[in-house]
Amino acid sequence: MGYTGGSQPDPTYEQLGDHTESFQLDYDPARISYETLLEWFWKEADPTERPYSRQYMAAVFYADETQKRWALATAKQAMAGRRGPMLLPILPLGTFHRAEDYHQKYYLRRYTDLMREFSGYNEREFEDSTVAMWLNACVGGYLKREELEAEVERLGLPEAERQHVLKLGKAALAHRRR
Amino acid sequence: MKPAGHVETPTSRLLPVDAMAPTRVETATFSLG
Repeated sequence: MGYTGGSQPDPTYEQLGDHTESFQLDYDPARISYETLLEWFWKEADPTERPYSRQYMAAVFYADETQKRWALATAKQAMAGRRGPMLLPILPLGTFHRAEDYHQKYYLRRYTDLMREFSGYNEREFEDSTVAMWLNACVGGYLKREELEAEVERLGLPEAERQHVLKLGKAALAHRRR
Repeated sequence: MKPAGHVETPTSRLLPVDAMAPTRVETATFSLG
């Protein structure tokens, strides 16, 4: 999680300036393509919606010309059949300022027993952790029941933590669907 | 006694899934409002 798109040198959550709250995904291009990530993005973002504010706007920040081409091509597909102009910004990525620690893996941080699994990690390792990413999604209620069970198996957690994640994930999922 | 030339392999502090993370990654940046 972080802030980008603006000109203020050292943005913080309290002093965001002209930046936008945003997130970065590190991915293995051998397993998933940027195009696929964009397809997922366009399912979540309406390209014709006027941005609510600079702080809270949906946008694609491209890192190079290849990403820009994919962003524009998939935007065109996302616009198919819609009325009105495309309002969602597709912008060059400038400096990405990482957000404060407490914004990283926000849901997971509530659970001290699960956080104990990362006691040997420094903050950067925790932020980049695939396990932490999945656990955050699990306890945030972002995984379907079958995905939740499969992921919890794969992460190789001790039994007590495994059961706790399943319980939390099912409750969070039910809450999100309400 | 350890044989000459023995190199101690440090035990990873990372969980196995993280220790096996791919070394080559690319980065995508989005915001969702």
